[in-house]
Amino acid sequence: MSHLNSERLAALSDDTPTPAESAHITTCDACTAEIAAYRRLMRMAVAAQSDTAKPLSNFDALLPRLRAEGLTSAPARHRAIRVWTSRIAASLVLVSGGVVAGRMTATKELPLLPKGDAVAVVAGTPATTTVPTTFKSVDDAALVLSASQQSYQNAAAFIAAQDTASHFVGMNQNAYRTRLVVLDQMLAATRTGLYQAPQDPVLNQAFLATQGAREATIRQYSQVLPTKRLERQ
Amino acid sequence: MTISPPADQITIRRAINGDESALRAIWKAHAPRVDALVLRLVGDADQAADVAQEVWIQIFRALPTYRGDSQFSTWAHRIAVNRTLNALRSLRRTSKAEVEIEEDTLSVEHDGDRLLLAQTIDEAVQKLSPGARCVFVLHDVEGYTHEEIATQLGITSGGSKSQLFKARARLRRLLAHLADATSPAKENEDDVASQL
Repeated sequence: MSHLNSERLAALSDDTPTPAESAHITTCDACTAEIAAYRRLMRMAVAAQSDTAKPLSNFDALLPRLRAEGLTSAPARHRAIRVWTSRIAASLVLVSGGVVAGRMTATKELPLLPKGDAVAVVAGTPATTTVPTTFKSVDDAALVLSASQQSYQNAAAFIAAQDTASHFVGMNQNAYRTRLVVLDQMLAATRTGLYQAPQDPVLNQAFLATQGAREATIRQYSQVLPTKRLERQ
Repeated sequence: MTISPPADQITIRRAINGDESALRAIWKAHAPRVDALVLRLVGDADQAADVAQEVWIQIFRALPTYRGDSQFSTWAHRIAVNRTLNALRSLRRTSKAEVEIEEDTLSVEHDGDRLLLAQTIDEAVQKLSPGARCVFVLHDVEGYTHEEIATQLGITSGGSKSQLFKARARLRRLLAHLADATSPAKENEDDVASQL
């Protein structure tokens, strides 16, 4: 058998030779050396790959496009300020949630309601709900938690809608709009928190309470604005 | 800078949220190898620099889809390969003529310097035809199978093998002085004999 051609020798650096090729290679120093050279070449190529140190790309040149596409929004310093603002807003959510909860417990207990019925409840409805303190399983507790969250949201919306204390003298369009802006910021803050910790019940309740307050505020806002104008906003 | 696995996840999460310093950290940690891959596939340094910018935009766009199933570097390399091959198709549409290099050997200082060795190999790889270069880099350097390469390049598995063997043969000629080094040769010849 004659010598193997160059492409076949190249293939044999990681391919299995046929019996005829194998018989030839065992007796041919030239072909054996050639296959060894190919293997050495492959090893060098793999070893060389980690040695290209300087990047071709330029991160600073990427930044304008990243910002334009919304993949990054602000320099680190500004983001740090925003993070702290978000944390403060989240704290406000917790405080306001606590206030709502406090008002609920200070006056009377409201029944668990299906979603959307909160506003239809007449003040003075007797308390009928027993809050469980022990649970049979995690699933059982999760069900109660879910129902409580829904109840909390309904109650917060109801109280916000019925609460005459919120109809302060001077509560005009601008005041409601200001409240909506703040509530939107609080929602954004809690939503960000839930994105990072979706299982957190405190953040979850804070989010729901804020959402309920926002819905109630929108209803109040709608009473002082023409419908068309509200829709545009 | 090297990002360790736990920090990598945190950095990636921050980057997804738009943290510029996290994006920069990811780029700094992975750009040398990702960009080197782009250069090997593209061949021309100027064109590779443009493609590398596009590759990084694509990597950052795709960040939210990274689920941590594989190493980040592996995931980023896949995106780099896909984006670079797409760019090469566009480049070939605008420039049909391939420049064939006539010289068969490269003059190299055989001084054992690894950086020089890497540079020499890179230069030789850049002298391959675009198709052969892609197949060689994807198979012998990046570890893709012929089936995967066939899918990526829209060719047959046999075509991928044929291109690879041609690429190796040409590199063998271009880098003869390196591949024929005497000291490890005997050892490798023993390897060949033992595997027959």
